[in-house]
Amino acid sequence: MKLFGKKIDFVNLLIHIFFIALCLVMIYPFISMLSVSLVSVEESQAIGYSIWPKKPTLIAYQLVLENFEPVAKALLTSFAVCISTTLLTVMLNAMYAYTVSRPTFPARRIINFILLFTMFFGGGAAASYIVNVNWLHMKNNLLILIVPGSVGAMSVIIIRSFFQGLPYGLVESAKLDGASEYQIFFKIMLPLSTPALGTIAISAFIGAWNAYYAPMMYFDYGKATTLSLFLQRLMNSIEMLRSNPGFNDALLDQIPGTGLTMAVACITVLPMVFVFPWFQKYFVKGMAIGAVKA
Amino acid sequence: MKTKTPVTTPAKKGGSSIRKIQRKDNWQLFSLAIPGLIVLILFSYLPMFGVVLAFKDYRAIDGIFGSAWCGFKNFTFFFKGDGAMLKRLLTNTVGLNVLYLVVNTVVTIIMGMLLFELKNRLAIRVYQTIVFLPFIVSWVAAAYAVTANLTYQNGIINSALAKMGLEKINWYMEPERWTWILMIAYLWKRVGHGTIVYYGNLMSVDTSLFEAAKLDGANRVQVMLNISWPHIRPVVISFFILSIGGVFNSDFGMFYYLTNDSTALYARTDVIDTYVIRALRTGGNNVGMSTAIGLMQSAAGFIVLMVVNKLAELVDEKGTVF
Repeated sequence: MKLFGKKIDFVNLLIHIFFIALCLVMIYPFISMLSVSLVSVEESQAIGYSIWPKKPTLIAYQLVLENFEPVAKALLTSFAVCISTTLLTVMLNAMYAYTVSRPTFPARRIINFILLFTMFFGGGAAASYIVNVNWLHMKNNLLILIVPGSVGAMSVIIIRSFFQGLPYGLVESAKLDGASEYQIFFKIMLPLSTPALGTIAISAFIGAWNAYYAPMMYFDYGKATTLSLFLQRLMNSIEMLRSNPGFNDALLDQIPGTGLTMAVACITVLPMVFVFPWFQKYFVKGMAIGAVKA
Repeated sequence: MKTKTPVTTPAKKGGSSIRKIQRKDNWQLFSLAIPGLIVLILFSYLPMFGVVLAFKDYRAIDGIFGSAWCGFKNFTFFFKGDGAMLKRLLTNTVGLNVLYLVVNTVVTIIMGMLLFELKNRLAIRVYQTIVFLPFIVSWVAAAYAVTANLTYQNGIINSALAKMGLEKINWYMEPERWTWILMIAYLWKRVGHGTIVYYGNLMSVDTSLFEAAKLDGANRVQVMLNISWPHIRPVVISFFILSIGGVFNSDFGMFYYLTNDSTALYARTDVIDTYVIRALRTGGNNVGMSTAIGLMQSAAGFIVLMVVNKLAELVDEKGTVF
């Protein structure tokens, strides 16, 4: 038995080694971005970038901070968009889910179908663009980043199945006490559903933070910019920073363009990376519900 | 609902007031769904009218309904000439997506099972978190990491190669390598998601099964194959079916940003979605064409979904989606 026990330990050890190696691979891209943002011009020209810069410098970050206005604006826009998107998404999906979760509601099937149909059929990118721009006049309007994705079949399914998992007696006894549907929804169902709502909230926030397609399609240069869009445009040029009147050209010559863009990329990515572990449990729970109901 | 004539008997009166409450409740329930319905109508159902664009010669001045009909021109355009473009796009789109989907499925199943073998809760949590991290990073940001590594002049990998006295590789000029670079990126981003799903699913196996197996002298591999695998198989199959419907639609961000939309790589990286976006951005009369392609993508995806769903019935009925 002792020998058997030892053998199991050995296999476990191998699995641990495998996962540790895998974790290193997973964070390598983050590390490489960070390293490149710290390499000095001389070093990058002489020996190129490396994962372990010989003389790390914060000059790229200094440059970003000195010309912080465009970055700060993008950061604020991103936060505003993300928070509005999250709140709207949670509310709309929960309300919709509550309606379709009630077996006694006569129009339940049709309202459910209206939602699920969108999973399988759509007008396509070009048609959406034309409708949003020509009919709804959403060009350069931040609402285009917030509203369209706020109701989604998967989210409603997750919340609905959570509602249905709660004892139905809750609804019935509240009704006997004369509560209206609004009261039942806002005072009973919502407070009891924080795990499901947390899942929806965190994925909505991450989705909005990372969204690149809608900003790219609907926002012209010089209009409101999210951080993700800012990063996209920075990729092609650092002209946006340069166009800032107070830009320090002498400093620019000292750092490679890549270093500067990497610094902005790190500023975009790292907050999420550090904040995420605290919210992860919500994500995991939601995926478990999604997996059962998929 | 019909209006009711006034009732006189007490019993009926009671029934009517219950019905009244019921009706009020139903209106309240319906009103909760109204904001969601408005969003769906505006942003999902209005664009559906745009499907007619696939059969039209779209001109911005005339709008969606004013533009002239053009029959199937937008569809046939795609098949014209020697079909080299079509062949390339289809090979890349379907080939790469199927390859990545299959590899990803296999890897995540194995990783979910391996993680399930571990008992140290803290370690499991740490692994889960780190493996999942890439999922929350956008492709735009990931593209920066790729640039940092693959830039020709002074990228991390080329610098390391140079230091070892090896020849630098011109990554953005050699399309063959990108099949695998993109595969690594795809796995990097998605493996964590699948792993957590399958691991979570394994947690729900009745533990007495494992104990019984141990008593019967089954080894770990036997337990995996005979208890764990059958348990997660339905979930694996439904995820696979749902994803296979999308093989004609690619993860646009990955194919577009990671490759820097580099023309030299199109031979192996240009997929339908990147082709369409490029066509749309260069303007001209591409709106009808892109809608037509979108329609074909949806139709083809739906057919594949149905066929695979049917095939899955033969393997494991619990995994089917419909």
